[in-house]
Order: sequence, then structure tokens, then C-alpha cells
Amino acid sequence: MSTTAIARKECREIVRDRRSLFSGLFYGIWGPMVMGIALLAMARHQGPLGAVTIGAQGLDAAPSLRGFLSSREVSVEPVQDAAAAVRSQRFDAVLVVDAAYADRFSNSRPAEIALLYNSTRPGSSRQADHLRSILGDYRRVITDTRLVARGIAPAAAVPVRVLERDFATAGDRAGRAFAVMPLFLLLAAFIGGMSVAADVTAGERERGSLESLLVHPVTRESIVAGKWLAVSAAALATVAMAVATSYLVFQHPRLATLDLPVGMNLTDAMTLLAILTPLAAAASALQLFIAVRTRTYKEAQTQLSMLIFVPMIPGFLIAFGSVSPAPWMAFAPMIGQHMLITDVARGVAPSISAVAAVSAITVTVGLAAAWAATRQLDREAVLRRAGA
Amino acid sequence: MIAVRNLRKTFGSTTAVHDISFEVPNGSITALLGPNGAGKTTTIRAITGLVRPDRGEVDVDGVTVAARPVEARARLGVVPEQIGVYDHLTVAEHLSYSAELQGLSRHDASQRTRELLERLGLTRLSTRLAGALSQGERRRLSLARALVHDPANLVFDEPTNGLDVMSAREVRQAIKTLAQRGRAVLVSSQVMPEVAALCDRVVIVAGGAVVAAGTPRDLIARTGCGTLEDAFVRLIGSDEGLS
Repeated sequence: MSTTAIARKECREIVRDRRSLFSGLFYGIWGPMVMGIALLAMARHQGPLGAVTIGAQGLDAAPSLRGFLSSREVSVEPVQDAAAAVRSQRFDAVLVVDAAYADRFSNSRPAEIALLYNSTRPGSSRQADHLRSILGDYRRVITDTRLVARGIAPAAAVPVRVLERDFATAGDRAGRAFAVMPLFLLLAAFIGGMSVAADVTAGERERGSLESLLVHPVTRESIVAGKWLAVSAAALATVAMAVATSYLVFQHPRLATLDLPVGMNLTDAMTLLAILTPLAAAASALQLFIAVRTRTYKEAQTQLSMLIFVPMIPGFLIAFGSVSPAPWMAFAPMIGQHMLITDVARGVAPSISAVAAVSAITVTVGLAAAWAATRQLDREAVLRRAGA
Repeated sequence: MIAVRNLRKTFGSTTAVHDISFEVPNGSITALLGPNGAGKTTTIRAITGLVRPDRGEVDVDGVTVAARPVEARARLGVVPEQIGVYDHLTVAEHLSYSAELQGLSRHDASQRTRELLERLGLTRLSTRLAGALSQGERRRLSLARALVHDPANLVFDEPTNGLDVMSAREVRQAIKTLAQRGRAVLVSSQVMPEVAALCDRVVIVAGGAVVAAGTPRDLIARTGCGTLEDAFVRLIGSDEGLS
């Protein structure tokens, strides 16, 4: 009964003092939304590049090149200051034809063309790639023509021809970006309860209410269990928010046109919640254990912030392909959930036994952390540190 | 009744309490006096089970605190020096929460809350958030929390600290009434006139040990001083400010 009373009281305070809850829920919404915005931006840059307009300087000296560009749907507008045109983003790419171009070209000497672009801008980089490809084609056409004129078969000058075929679809490319989705969801389990865990332990000590609580005839186990329930509820609310937002992101009509290799329906969303619930509970217990050892709310927040990144490291390594998943990883908290979430997003239904195994291990870790938090709360130093 | 016997407690190399023994009989008010660092807080925390003695024991109505802390705490009502209210709970919610932690059902907790609000004149504040209460109102709330399970033994740590004259009088009157109703009351205070007027017995500690115990009148007579404050100063081994 004491456990539920404490949990109810903590939840009531969390709801009334919205600061703690808000930071978690904010992440739950914005994390997946940022991912969605990034994907939509990526989708915009992944489609076929049709007619483009570029800037050019001195192109009047290269009429055949102008014609070639035109045949490839590249419109050209003259510019006075090519570098300024790129820097000011007036054009994504600008061609600068060398003053000696016509002379060198007619004498079959290498005529220079400069391609100006900004590689930090995806649109500029993409247009530069497009132009590079067209200029390569132009160079081959001119070379072949000159060789034929000299009675040499063009094939003789090409000992090896490399054919490149990129089978990646726009959806595939966007799907790579979805590799971060498990990390977003795993982070939600940690971020959701972070401020609350700091508030119900170090915050309570700082406000001087911990001693009032401890003099009640309640076991330390009941106190930790009540607080654990409240922190877990906050973490779970954030996870639910993150899953719901991710679900909505996947339903965006623009993403639907990308033929993504990943997706999410309502069943998937429920499965993700089932996978993440034990993790949210375990994360909450770990946060309680850390926060109950600290002296102030600020100190607790600092230590809990660091906690977030440590278990994220394996997830990042897998997400970005640095480490190949090994069988044991399926049972490791955080990594196991990461793999399961990835499966769900790819439309592979995880086996119940796999979910149960990693959940059981995760809950065990959570129980151990809660037990350790109980021991911390039983220490006399808990009050002595408060300066009470 | 609260009984403290041969209490000893060290923190690392510091001996907070060397050897303290005293009793708080039912129906009486006992003051625990001492200069800062004398061991008062450690003694009170040993009584409430927040520190475990290295030696000796504390009994509350015959229940040994170290052995059965939860049972012992159920027999105690504690008003800590730090009031420690929850800013986002109302006065009534504080009392209901404490009552539930004392083991009352939600229904009984609600009923007991109403009774206490009325008895302590807090009814008009029942829906006010604790964060909006004055210091005196917080102290009354803290007192109400300690009484929510009608304990037979009460511990007050600096009960009138920071209160205005009227609030301090109200708290003192409430403590007196509790003793008249047969409760064992232990008060830790630095306000000598308050102790002299309120308490039946005084236990003076210094250097972690009891240096004197008796009624205020006994202590004054024993030292030949005119006031309890002077007697206290002399008994703790200081002549500072004595004529």
C-alpha cells in the first residue's frame, strides 16, 4: 500500500510540476520528428535530377559545349563573378571556361573548364556530380571524334571500360537514415525518466523532505519501489510518445513514395512498446540508483546525462556498421532491444522468445539497480550528505 | 515511552555520541539540550531509526528501533527541524499521504485528514498548495503530519525554529496538550525560556554524553544560577556570559 501511495504522490507532483515531465515528452515528440524532417529533406534530394540551371562564365568561347549541355537539359545563365554566385547560393554550380579555351581546344590541347560548387550543400554537391558526369560524356565524345579524325579507332584508346550500376533506390538511401530510429527510441527510454529520477531523489533531499519521508514506518524497499514506478511511468510516457511520433512519421505520404525498406504499422508500434517497456523500467531503476547517491538535483542531472551516452555506444557502432551483430548481443540490454527494433522496422516480426529473453535480462538488471538504490537509501550518509 | 540506553555512535573517526542514556516517560515533555555538535541530532536520528547505533539501544514502547525500525517508527510521530513539505501537494494531500504511509486505508486516511485539519485549525488551508504556505503554516502542517496516526510518542526537533511569536505559542500549546493526553514528548530546542516553561525534564548533552538531567528547577538549584540558560552554560562547562 505504501508503494502505491508513494507512486501516486510522485506522479501527482510530476503532473503538477510539468518541468520534469516536459523535457522527456519534448524529446519523445521532437526526436522522431527531427528524423522525419531529415528523411523528407533526403527524399527531396534523392529523386532523379531533371532539367537544371547553372551559372557560367566565358561559355561563349565553347559553343559546342553549350550545345552539349543544352542537349542534357542544362540551361546556362551567364555570371560575372563565378565564386560570388556560388557563395551567395545564386547557383548551386558554376562553370568557368578558361580564356584560352577556344585556342587550346582548336589546337587539340587540353582546354580548361573549372567547376565551382559548395560540397557542404547537398544540392550543390549533387548538381556538381551531375555536371561532372555530363562533362565526362562530353570529353569522351570529343576524344572519340579526334581519334576517328586521325584514323584511330576510339576503342583502342580505351583498354578497360568500367560500367557502374548503382542499384540503390531512393528508398534504400532513406532507409539508411532510418538506422538511427532505434537509437531515438532507446534514448527515449532513458531521457523520459531522467529529470524525474533526479527530482524524486536528490531533489527531495535538497528540499529537505527526504527525512520527513524516511521517518515514516515504511521500508526502504517500498520507498524505492514507489519512486521506481513513478519514474518508469514518466519514461514509458516518453517512449509511447516517441513510438507514436515515429508511427506518424512513417505515415507521411512523401515517405510512402520512397518505397522504404522499413516501415511501421500499428502492430509494429505495439511490438516496439512491448520491447521498450522493460528497458524503460530498467533505465529508471539505474537512474534512481545513480541519483540517490548524489547530493543535489544539479549533480544528479549531470551524472544522469552521462549515463545516457554510455549504453548508446554499442548501438551507434551497430547502427553505423562498425560492429557486426553477434549472437550474444541479442541478449544484451540495449543492444538486444536495438536489434529487435531494427527487425520490427524492417518488417521482420521478432520471436516472442527473443523479446522475452532480452526483456528478462533487462528487468533483472533493473531489479539489481533498484536493490542497489534501496541499499543507498538505507545508508546514514543519505541524510548526512544533505547537511541536515 | 522512549528509552535511550548507552547510545554510542561514531562517523569515521568522529564520535558523535559517546554514551547517552535517558528516558522520556509517557505524559511528560523531556527536553534534549546541548550546544551545536553535542550529539542531539544523532540521538534523535537514532530514536527515529535513521542512524544505527554502534552500541546501546533505543526502545520505543518496548520496541527496539535497530531491530524493528518500521514497528518502532509506527509508534513515533516526528517533526524534523527541516520541515520538508512538497510544494505541489495541498495541505490535505500531505496529510492523506502521511496517513497512508502510516498504514491507514485511503478511506481512513481521508477521514483522519479531515479530523486533523479541523483540530489544528488548518481547514481553510486544506486545498492550498504547500508551496504557498507561510513558515508558521508549514510548521503546523508538519505537526499535523506527525499526529496523523495518533502516535503515543512524539519527537520535535527545534519545533519553534523560525516561527513568529503567535505561531510559536500555538506550537507550544499543542505540545503541552499532547503531553497532557499521555503522550511521551521529546523536544530538542535551543530556546531556554521555552524549555523552562514547557518541559518537565531536561537532559543536557555535551561532547556526546549526558552531563546533567533533571527538572529545570533542579538544574537551576544545582548550579546556583538564576535561569535555566545560565545553568545550561555552566553545566556544559562554559562560563561564557555568566556574571
